[in-house]
Amino acid sequence: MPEDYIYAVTRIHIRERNLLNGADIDALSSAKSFSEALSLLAAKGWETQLVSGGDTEALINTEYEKTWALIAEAAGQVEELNIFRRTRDFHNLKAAIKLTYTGEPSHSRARYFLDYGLTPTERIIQAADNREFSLLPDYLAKAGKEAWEALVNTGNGQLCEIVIDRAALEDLDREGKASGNPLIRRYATFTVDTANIKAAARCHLLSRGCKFLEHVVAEGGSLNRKGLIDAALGDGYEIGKFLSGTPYEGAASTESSGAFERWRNDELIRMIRPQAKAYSGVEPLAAYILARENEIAMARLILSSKAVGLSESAVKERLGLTYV
Amino acid sequence: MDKLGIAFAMLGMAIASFLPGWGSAKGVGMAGQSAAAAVTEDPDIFSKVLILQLLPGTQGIYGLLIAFMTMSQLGLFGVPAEVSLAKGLAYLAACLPIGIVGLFSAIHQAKVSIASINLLAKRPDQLSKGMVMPALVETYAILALLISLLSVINVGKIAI
Repeated sequence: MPEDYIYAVTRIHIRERNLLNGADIDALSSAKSFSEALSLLAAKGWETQLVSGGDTEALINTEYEKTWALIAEAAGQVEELNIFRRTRDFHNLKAAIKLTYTGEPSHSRARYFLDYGLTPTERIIQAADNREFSLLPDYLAKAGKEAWEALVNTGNGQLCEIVIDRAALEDLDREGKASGNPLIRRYATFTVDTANIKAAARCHLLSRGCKFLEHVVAEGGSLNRKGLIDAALGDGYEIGKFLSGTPYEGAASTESSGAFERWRNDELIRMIRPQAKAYSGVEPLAAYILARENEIAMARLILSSKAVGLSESAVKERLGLTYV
Repeated sequence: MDKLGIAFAMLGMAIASFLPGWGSAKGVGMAGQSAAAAVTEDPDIFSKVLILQLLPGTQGIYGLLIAFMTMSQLGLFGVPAEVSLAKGLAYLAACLPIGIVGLFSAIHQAKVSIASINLLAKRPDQLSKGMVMPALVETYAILALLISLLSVINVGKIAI
């Protein structure tokens, strides 16, 4: 219904005043030190007192939680936004399996998990601890079992991540296609396609074989999966040729993973920007969630670079458009 | 046939009160949600957004005015007037402008009001601009009111 969520959308639009704009990102990346960058973020309402030493995890997690707390307060439970919450479940599943495998004590585990997932974190932890993945909803159960077996059999944490990341993408694709919302459908397809392009390009650079590619490239999205895998197995120009004529043509001209990330973020921001003027509906809420994720990722990148003393130009390569 | 005349006239009166009233209720409700959100974020903005919330409510008042005028012309407050079928249809036609324009203009005005509430919430100093935009939508409700009012008053003078 076009008149849905008017209250929530107005609140979200008002909060958009506090989002980091292009000038804020420039100022942050030009900050002379880590503490100067933190002061700039504090002026924008970020909980910078949570930063201890150079560890920004608590700050970053709090900012993510603030977004979801606002959405929950303004709009309640919005079924169409569950697609974003399921992504958090996959993150929590990954964390639970790895922590169980490494035997991390329960009291120090909390910081690895994200709130506002669709499945209670306790249930995910319980399933991993007892290896009873059937306790989980279908979309998590199979991925959890496979990831656990991969980790136990190989001891390779990366393999465990690949299994869960791929399951998360395929779930996103299914949910996106089932969604009646055009923006969410488009976002899901875009995310799956760009993740597959990134995985294929990385495999090409590392000269990975067909079997590995078939393992990492998720099914779904709008691209021909076999075509992408074949392109990744070919010479350096094959992926570019494969992408020409698709909506991802621009990705082919990026020359580094940083440039690709920037292209990807810019495309996403262009996709959601029209929602800044909408007065109702789920779309502006989804756009706000994505805009916040984008700005948090940018802030995280800048803070990490300041903490390790990376040059401003190296960071700026990855920083693209902002929502406001 | 005389009975049909009064029935059509009453139908016109019902349309004049029902459609703009429906539009206004919906419009004020929509703008009210947005106004409540703005006040949640900034309580000081209440008086400004209240005006914007009320703007889509005027169509309901215009509809009510036309309905009263029609009732008065039909003599429903005193001695009932003789209403031929043609005259009844003429009353119905006279009520349609405010009925239809009132309904749609209230909803469209509410959308502009919401946009203005968003504007005010972000820039509280822009009240006058925020008021002008939804007020422009009112123009068409006033034009429809004028046509309905003049028609209802003059239908009785026509010998049909």
